[in-house]
Amino acid sequence: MKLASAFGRHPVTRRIGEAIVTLVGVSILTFVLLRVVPGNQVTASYGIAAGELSPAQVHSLEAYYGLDKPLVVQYFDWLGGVLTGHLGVSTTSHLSVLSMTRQALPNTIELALLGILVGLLLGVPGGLLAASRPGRLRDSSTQMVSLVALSIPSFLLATAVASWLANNLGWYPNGKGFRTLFDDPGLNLQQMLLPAVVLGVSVAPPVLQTTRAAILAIRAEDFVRTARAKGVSGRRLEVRHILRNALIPVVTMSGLQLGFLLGGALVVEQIFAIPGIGRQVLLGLNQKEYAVVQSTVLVIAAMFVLINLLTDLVYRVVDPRVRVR
Amino acid sequence: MSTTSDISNVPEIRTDASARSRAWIAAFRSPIGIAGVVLMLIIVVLALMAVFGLTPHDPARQNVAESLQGPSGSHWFGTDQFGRDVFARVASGMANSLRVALVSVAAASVIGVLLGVVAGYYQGIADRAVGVVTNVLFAFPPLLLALALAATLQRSWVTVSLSIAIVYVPIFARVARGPVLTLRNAEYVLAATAIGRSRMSTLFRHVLPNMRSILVVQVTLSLSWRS
Repeated sequence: MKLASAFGRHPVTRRIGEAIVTLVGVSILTFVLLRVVPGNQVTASYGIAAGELSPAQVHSLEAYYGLDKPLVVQYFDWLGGVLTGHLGVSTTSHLSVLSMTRQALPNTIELALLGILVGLLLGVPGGLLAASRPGRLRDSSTQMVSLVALSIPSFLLATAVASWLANNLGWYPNGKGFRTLFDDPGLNLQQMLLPAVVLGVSVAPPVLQTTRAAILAIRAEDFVRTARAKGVSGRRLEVRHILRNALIPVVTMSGLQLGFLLGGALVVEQIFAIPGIGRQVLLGLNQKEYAVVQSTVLVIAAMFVLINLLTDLVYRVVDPRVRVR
Repeated sequence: MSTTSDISNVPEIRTDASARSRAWIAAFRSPIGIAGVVLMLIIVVLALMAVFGLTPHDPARQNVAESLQGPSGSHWFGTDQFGRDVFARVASGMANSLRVALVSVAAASVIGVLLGVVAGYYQGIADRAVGVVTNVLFAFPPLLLALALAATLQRSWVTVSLSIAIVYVPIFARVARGPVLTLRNAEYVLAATAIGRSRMSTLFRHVLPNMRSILVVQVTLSLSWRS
């Protein structure tokens, strides 16, 4: 069977087909991994006492949690629910996964966007600075700073900055209980500031390197020489001809980083007590809430795939040369 | 985590022996090169000290009477709240990190590069299959993978290396696939095909060696992230 023919020849429809295959793969992988891990919801909710349950009790509890059915049936039950808009229910909190996600997802998206923003604000000007005098002091010192930023683990930076500010300035907005952007914008932005900076510092170095490399590569292109020969002046040449083309790889880079942040900012969410999507997965994992983990992982993967798809489409619009393949 | 590596300023690698030795000498002469070598040596020596038990103290031994001391002659980095020697703990931690980093990156680079090269070189169904696998692994939260592996296998550094390796395979696959797409149409590759070399030997003799610089950058970057 040729996968290509299944999704058509057009690159965009093929991309969408690939996205669907990816999501199905992720859901199967999650499903299998959860069941490979020892223990289930019965042992997770009863702890050591689970050993004292009689086989009949275990059986009825498994029936209650839907664990007695064959695996294939469990998978398709869940998938059928997802396709009809029912992501499942958390049996410990009695909330639907949909409403949990509706609360957690905006926080994660806000954090990821702010993190990318900080990363771009640090990375792009840094890259421009480094590329303005390649190989000279300005270049090497910028790169040194970026290397240091890359070397510091984000969890260490996060805890160090937070405890320093709390001890010396008595400022620790994250201790007050989380507020969403809609409840209390002022406090929310204060609470998001530190985590966004921490994420931004880890995003900035690759952005900086990409910007620098792209600018240097494009400065050597024929069309730049042509423009200069035509008499295009300095600033106009830098902005219209070089920067505009150099930002294309930066867009791809940021898209990829955004995809990772949307699902992977777990450590920072945990340290700064931000109720995001990463913590939802962790909570579900600890309680062995299969539906919560499966659906939330699917949401994370869907966002990742969507961001990549969008980056690809934007790329196609911005850079017509990509459309060839 | 990034999948792109800075390809543009990697110098082209010359294979003749004199150029290679000149490059080594140049690396040792530049201040940055020397700094790198010195740092590397410190890390390796520290790790080796821990492996052979040459640190002045046992990293796990508690001595509450000496807790929370500052750096001194007997405890070079001071002690923690249980009176354990921080220097010995740093050294043994370094050894663990280094071992995990080396093993996981080695495994991930071999598997990932092989997948990426095969996908880019043979294209068609192989390319699509590898594409699906890398996409799935990319979109999957690494934490879940690590937890599942830790729970099913024994908790050891091998498990840690394995889960890190799995996370890194798609990155290497993607990084390797890109240049192969251009290299497979390079004139010397066409020439090798024209004189009747098999596709397999062209791949290993002509395509792979010319990707060295890109792969070296990616391997060193990954090593630094993991250790």
